Amino acid sequence: MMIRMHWRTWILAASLSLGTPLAMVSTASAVPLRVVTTTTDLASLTKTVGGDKVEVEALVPGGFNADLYSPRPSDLFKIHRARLFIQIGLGLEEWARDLVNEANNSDLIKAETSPGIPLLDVPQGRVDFSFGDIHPYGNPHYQLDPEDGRIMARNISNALAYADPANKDYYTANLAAFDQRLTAAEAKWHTAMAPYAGAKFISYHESWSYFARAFKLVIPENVESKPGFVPSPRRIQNVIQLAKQENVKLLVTEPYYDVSIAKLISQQVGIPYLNLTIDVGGNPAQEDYISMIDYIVTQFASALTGHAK
Amino acid sequence: MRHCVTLVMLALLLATCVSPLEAGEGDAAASKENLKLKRQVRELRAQMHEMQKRFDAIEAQVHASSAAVASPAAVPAVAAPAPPPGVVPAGVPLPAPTPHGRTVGEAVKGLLPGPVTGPTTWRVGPGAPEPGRGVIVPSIEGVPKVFIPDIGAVGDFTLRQSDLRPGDPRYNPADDQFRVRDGQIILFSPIDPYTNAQISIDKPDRDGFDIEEAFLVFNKLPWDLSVRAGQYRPRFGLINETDTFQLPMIDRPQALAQYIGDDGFVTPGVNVTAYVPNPWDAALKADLNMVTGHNTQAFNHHAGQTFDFAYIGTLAYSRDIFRSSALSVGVSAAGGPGPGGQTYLQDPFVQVQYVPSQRQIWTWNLEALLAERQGVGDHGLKASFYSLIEYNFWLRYHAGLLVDVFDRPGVPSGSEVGISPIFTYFVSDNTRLRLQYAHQTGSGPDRAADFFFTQATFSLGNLKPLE
Repeated sequence: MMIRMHWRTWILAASLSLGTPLAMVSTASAVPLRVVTTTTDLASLTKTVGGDKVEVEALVPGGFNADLYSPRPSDLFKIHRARLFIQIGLGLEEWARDLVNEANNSDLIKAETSPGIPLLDVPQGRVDFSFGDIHPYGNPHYQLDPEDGRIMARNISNALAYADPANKDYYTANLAAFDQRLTAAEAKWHTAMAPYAGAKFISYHESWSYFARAFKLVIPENVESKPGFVPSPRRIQNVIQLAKQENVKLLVTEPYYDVSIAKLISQQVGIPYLNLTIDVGGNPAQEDYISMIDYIVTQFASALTGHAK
Repeated sequence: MRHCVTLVMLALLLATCVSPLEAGEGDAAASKENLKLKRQVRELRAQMHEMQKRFDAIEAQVHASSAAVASPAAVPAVAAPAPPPGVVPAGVPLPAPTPHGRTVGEAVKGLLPGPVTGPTTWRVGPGAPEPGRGVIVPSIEGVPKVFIPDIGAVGDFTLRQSDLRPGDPRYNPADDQFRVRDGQIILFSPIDPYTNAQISIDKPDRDGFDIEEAFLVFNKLPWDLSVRAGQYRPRFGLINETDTFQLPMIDRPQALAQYIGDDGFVTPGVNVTAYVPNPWDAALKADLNMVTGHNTQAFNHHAGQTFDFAYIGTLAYSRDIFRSSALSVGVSAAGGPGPGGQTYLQDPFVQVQYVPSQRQIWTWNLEALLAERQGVGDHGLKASFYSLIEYNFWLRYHAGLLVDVFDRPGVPSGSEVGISPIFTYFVSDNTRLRLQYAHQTGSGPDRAADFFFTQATFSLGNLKPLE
């Protein structure tokens, strides 16, 4: 038994050791450009701008909260093989830093899409964890403002051109085409939402600030008093009172938060509530960035019907 | 007397004349101030008017552009040329946000002196695009201008209660108390463009301050190799790289602890890690360590034998399954000088994560340890394993069941079985509370025992996050 165990261990150790030198045979980087994004929104925009010159993978599945994501072991390998890594930034994907550090990829270019975004909810003064899961650089859910989507696409185009200069013109042309489609879609969305300008709604988490800015809606309060923390019964009562006082028309949440609290508040106040995914792939109707926003606008307009000013 | 009256009259007359004079001077000063303020108001109004005109002009430009693009006939045949740096094309309202003052954040933003641009302080390397056109960070980020390492802090507090009584060899009243089981300060920083360094200063219960880990990581090497040198936790099985306070159970499973120690391997040495290229493009990672074996329960460096190292290797494969779930399988092997002679360990492991939604995450860990140790009374191969099923049934709530089976080390035969339900509540990402009950029974002379554990742990910073 001792002899067999001895041999087995050394054979195993030797084969494991052989794995390391084998790994030194580097695989040549292939066309198309391999891009890994954190969210499906970024993947969609990257695919739109990169076309058939890129191969894109998102780490966080659609319908999941990137803030709460637990990376999978295979995520390391995806980043290891990639040439370009794109994230939202502003502290949304704090888990990504370790992945990038541990991915053994010295050629990886990292980019984030937040530069140029006119940020909201930037905390002032000292920030610490007593504020909850606060994002010290500002609210990172900027993808819900289509104008921010335009900036994201432009930053992605720049990143692609930097990583793959030979196809810069191709990316620029795709970006321009996306710009046009987005502008046309925006005109439609603004027409649909125009009657509800100034309407008030409450969001469970502060994910909707940019959407409210884009469509001139008002968020008098969020259900969470501190981001990321389940509200107390007293807090829920206060929100109900405030919603009645402020003549709030709608409550909106995402499926990964406590939908039962959203239901309770909407029942007490007598308003509808929406349970919406806010990213590409969250549901079959949200298959790319434009259809993602389109779905949300349609749902909002439908829920606010009858509350036009 | 008449002169006196005259003088008084003159004085009164003078006083009467002087008073209006003083009042006249005061009025003139107020009037001057008033004029100054009025001038400022005029200037400010003019500025506001000018700004309003600019707003109107930009809005008109945006509307005109939108209308032109919305009209199919107006769609340009070719893409517009890229704008020069700092120039924003029509229809891209980058420097002209359209605030409506609707949210608290919007109001706060209005108080700021200018647009907030976020954390764009990463260094942009050679060949990067023009400023203001996106942050692109080449993989070599450079030395930080100010040496401020990332800092983490950890506190781990436990209370154990058992029904062990005096006379039982496992009885130790010191174990059934509140304990500050672990306290750590962790520092991490890039120290040059090619190297990261991390050090953990540890204060375990009942011991003095210690250096838990101190290592350099070279991860900008050719062929995407990563080399780590110093004292660290080598990869061995599923959880050896994880600090004990981070584990999904309060103590390291006995299946491992009996052979490699309560805290796992933490040893000085050198580590090489790389992905193994393969025809299937599979995520196959190899990890090899040459270590001193600074661990009395598994490997023990022989005094006076300079080059008598222990070797630890791991080959692991991982892949996604279904839409959002994952599978990892692998095997670790280790060999080297033990306390009584050569020690050989093998550790096959599997982890399955089934994630139908972020509110329902199932994780199954299965890890076995086969140990063959010479000269310590084991009398042959010892086999142990543990299995942990954990269900994250709400965002912050986890329930688990641990089955922990091990052969007794250092005796010819005998094994023990432990069963532990575990309940964990994450107060936040940084704070965790846990309850664990364990029933342990075995084939040896010791009677069955029951243990009840409570644990409160915090970990600040992301260097050693709670899991």
